[in-house]
Amino acid sequence: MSLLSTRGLNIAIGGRSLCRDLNLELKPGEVWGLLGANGSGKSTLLHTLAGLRPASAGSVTLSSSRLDRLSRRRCAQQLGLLLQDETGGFPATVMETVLQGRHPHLNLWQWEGEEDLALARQALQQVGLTACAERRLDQLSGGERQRLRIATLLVQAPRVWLLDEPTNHLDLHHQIQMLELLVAQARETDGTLMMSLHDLNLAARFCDRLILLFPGAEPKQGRAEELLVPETLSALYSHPIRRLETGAGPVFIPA
Amino acid sequence: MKTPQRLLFLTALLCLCLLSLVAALALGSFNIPLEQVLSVLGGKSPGLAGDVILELRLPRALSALVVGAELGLAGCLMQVLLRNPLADPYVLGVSGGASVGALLAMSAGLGSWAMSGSALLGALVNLLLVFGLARGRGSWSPTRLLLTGVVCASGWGAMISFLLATSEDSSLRGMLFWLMGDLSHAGMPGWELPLLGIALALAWILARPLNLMLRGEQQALALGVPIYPLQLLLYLLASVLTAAAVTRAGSIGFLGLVVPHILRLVAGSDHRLLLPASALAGGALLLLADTLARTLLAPQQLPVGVVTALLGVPLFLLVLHRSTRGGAL
Amino acid sequence: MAPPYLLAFFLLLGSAFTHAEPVSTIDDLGRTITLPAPAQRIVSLAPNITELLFSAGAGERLVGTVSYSNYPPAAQDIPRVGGPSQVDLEALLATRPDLVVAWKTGNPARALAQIERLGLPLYLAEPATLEQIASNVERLGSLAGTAPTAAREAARFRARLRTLTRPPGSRAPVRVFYQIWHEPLMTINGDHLISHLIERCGGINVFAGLEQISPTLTLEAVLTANPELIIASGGAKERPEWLDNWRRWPHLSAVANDALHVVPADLLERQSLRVVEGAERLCRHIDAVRPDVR
Repeated sequence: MSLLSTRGLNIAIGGRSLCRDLNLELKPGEVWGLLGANGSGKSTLLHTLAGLRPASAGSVTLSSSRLDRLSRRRCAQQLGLLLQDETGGFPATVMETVLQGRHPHLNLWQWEGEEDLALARQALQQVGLTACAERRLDQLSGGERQRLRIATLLVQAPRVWLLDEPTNHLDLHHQIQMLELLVAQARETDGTLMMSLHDLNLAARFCDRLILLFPGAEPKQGRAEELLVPETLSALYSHPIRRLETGAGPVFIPA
Repeated sequence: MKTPQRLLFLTALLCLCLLSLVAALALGSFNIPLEQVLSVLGGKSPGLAGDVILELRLPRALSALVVGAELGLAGCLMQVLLRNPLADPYVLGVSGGASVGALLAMSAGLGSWAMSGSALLGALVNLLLVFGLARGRGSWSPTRLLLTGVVCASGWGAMISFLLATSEDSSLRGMLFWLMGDLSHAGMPGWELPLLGIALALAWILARPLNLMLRGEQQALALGVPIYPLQLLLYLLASVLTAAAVTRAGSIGFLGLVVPHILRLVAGSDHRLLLPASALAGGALLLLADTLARTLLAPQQLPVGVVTALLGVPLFLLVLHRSTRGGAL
Repeated sequence: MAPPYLLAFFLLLGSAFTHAEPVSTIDDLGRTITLPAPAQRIVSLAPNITELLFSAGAGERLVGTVSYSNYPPAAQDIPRVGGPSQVDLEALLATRPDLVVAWKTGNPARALAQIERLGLPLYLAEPATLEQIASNVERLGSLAGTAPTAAREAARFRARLRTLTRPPGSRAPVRVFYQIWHEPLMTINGDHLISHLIERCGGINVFAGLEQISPTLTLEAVLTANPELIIASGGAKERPEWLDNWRRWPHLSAVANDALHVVPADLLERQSLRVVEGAERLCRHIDAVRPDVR
């Protein structure tokens, strides 16, 4: 039984076809990597899977319901999406922002209670932002803002985690720490996770399965170790890529 | 802000409204001692003093409260809808449409009822026009809406200039005064009261989704906010509130822009607090401004829009200056 | 095309018939205006100026005026050169005027400066007092070469004015509120000509002490002043419907006196010789509220 699946999915951006007849199955406990060059449509695919934009044809199914027939609220209770930067012109504090992750779990009249506050505090602690709780968003650095977005997603606590470049703005230490945190959360809740990445080594380290978006060809999906081979990757990025074997596993470097 | 603080804040604003109301009833060129004001309100209306309070000051004061509340609330909603801190209730051309309607009625020499009706009609025409054009083929973004509204507002502005340039001197006076905003002939507010109540309740229920909308469309969608119906509802609410305010009092500027900002700086950006606070603060500020407008140079009267700006600009700059140390905007 | 010498001959002949002698006078700004001969082609830039010119006997020499110039009836046939605040300079030039008479505070200063730059003789009138109205008629008459007619009209005007002055009665002057407009509620202060007329008739303008010449008031201020007589400025015939709005306030003395009257704005507010007619009506209304005169 898959948590998120697609059937015959067609996606097109501005007349260019991204994929035709895509069938995906995201099963509990799986961690998916989404790889592709700039402009290959990684964000578009994630947004389509999250129901933010309609597909040209085919359907997305969340648990057992078709996504386009679910209300946004029901969808957000099960599916969380980490977006890339989005700017808001109005001041809000870190605490207010992270609490917004509880929105799909509260009904219209309900105010955030102690329980929600506890969840928010826990999430801030997990991403190392406890000290910033009362700071305003515009006083945060890019990396802190990225961790705040991750904390909001932790508070939302979905079963399907879709992450659009979760390592944006993060230093090496935080890249590993945040991905370990997110992957652990997804696995603990028996959920599933798909993230777009640019770093092949992170993909090799965290992902069981991959989907590769090729320029001008149909996407390929499969087990990570089958797809992380120099020929496939060189074709993916239109640039020769070498694989070095080390004691800690394979390392990918551009030639 | 914690819940007790929020309640305290709203109570303080409510007290400010009541104090302004007392001041508005007690002050004027006709000298009435406070005890007599109270006895008139208690049901006894001795002669001219009773007339002055019940027929002149009370309707005008209540109108000011209602119009101020409508503008404060509409400004707050418009800023969320357009996600633009520069948005005010008039930015999408509602007041322009209403003004053209009112001015046409004035140049045709129609009475005040026809003028109000015509202003309301103009506002509704603008509402449909901007919405229809901005909607285009299905999708509409705040930017597209803003652009359509601003262009329509410019169109109305040109029509206003045309009407002013071609009308006779005798009606010109009334037209200019109306355009500056004026409460001196406002009667007792009627249908606006339930309208304001319903709008405030609706907006307040939606306050949490509104908070999310400020983080951007996609983020709000991802967190479960059905953004398109919400935007439509916001647009309708803000426009109808503005139309009601403009119909009653002309286009009183500045209030709808600055009241939500002052409150954001003072009380943060949670709309569950911000929306009722904007309504209360808008009402109090307009009532104070109107009372000053008719007492400052009494028996002469100043246009109330001038006074709102004279009060609001320094207040806003002061709050902004104090908060820059905390890096608010 | 006639040869130039023929044209010169006719010009000489023409001037011989009108006894061409230079005429000169001083306008309301104290500037001397000198014309080589009495003006034959005059343009008036305001309705009140048009009336003054007609009174001075120069009506037939008007070749251009502005909108709202509706009195005397003959004024309606004169070609228009725009409105008082929007003078069409091209139309003005096309009338080939030898004298332009403008209203200092009624015409835009920029238009007046442009007319001077064009080299047209410009007389600036500012008839702020009753005597200035009469003397403007006389001075315009001398520029147009119609001084006898002008002097006769001015003398008649002054004589009629003299009959207006009321003996001080046994009671205080009648408190008068002069209402220019209702929305916004506007009146005049003590500097206004109408306020002087009210005093001449034995009344007093309740808002004489205000700073502005035509201030905007609150309704409450009028109720506080409690005038005994309300005069509304109105059209020539009809009574403005807003005048009777005062009946909402039965405590108001003017309402109790049933003293809500109209005096046509053209008579009182236009600063022409007809102001004496308006003043006579004003005095009759004031007399009606004074028991000692009645």
